[in-house]
Amino acid sequence: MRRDGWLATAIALAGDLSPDTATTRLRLERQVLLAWGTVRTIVWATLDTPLDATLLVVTAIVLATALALAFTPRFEAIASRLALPALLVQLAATLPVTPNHFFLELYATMILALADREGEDAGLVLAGLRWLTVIVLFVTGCQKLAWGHYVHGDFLAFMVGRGDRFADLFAWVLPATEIARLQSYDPFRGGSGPYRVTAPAFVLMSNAVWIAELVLPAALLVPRTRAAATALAVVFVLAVQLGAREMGFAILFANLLMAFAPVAASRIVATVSLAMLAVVGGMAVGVVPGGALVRAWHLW
Amino acid sequence: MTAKRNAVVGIVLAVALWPLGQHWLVTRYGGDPWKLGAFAMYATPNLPVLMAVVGTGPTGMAVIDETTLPAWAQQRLDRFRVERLALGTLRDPADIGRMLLTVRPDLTSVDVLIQRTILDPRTARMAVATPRYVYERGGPTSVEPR
Repeated sequence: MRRDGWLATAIALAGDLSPDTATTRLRLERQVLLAWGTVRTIVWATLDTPLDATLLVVTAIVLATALALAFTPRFEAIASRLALPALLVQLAATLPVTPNHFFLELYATMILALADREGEDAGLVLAGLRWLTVIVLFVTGCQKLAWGHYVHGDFLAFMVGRGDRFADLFAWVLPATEIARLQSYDPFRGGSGPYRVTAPAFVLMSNAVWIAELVLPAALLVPRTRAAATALAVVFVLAVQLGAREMGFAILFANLLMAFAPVAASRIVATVSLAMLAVVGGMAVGVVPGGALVRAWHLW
Repeated sequence: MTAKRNAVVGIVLAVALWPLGQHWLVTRYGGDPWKLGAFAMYATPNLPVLMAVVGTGPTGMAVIDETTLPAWAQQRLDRFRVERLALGTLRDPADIGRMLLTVRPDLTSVDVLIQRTILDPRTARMAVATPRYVYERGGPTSVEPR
């Protein structure tokens, strides 16, 4: 009884007061998620992945079928259930090097598979999706703290030294001499370093990353700060992920964050995301120019 | 409704708690923090593992040039590197040692040297660990690193 009360409070904390709104939100999340999975599989199939081509083609067909069902009112509720076995097959084929993006897609699909056609569980499923989003964002901040490379800016300094694309977001505040020093180290040689800088702006930005990842999830759960936190979180995720050129993850996570946004905003973001995914899918199979972009940008 | 609620709570709790297990696994066995679904990407560098294989034959020891191996053997070595990075010492190189002794019947033993490189958070300098596994023809199939 006490546990039931605790769970009800937790669900209500991330819940939606209107069942109709919850159903609409789930529909948009489902459509984007299945489009994301379909295009991801197409990109995997067209890149030089070590995965079995037949497996990729079969799972792409299953995911595309699920995507089509997600746009039909009668069958939309079973779309995620249809996609789930295909994702589990892909998981088995990619372990232990499965990307984290895929795990996020899988977890969200598992939760969406619990929704029924009548929409009776829509509030519960939406609360599950929101908790998933909040926890993943919070965990990324905890992991950065736990590994201990952000308080002094060491990780970002290391990335600057490696000339990594992710560092372009942060390197502009460092003097050229510091960048040259960091790039002079051989990262495979024991004792190389120190990958530590004293530029206050750089260290501040490094700390801002994990602080944002810990504070924004809490703000997403508080009704008064939810709207602002959603907008800030989308900007934050887009900035970081576009800096890392992980556009696939940016689309996926921005849409999960839309579970907190007004439905009108969710609809706009979902429409833009679906259009972007269609273009990326077209690029991957060669019907839209820009195949090189799919390779250059770390889409999946 | 209760069953579905339990399922949602179970998934959410698993996502919340698994990072603790993954962190323990990675620190215990030296795997890749970026892998295994615990969302630690960009938390710490994940440099590829470096690997060298040295064979001992009738003319002494020599580094095995991987490009001289059959294509399937090269693919297995590449796959091993990826799996070793992800799983650390949980991915034992015994099958690699046996494979090399099979494709190179002239060798009496094979040394597999693997370097894992991490960024030490205390010093902000790189730290390396290079375990060496020695597989002898007719010897035990599984060995402790030296």
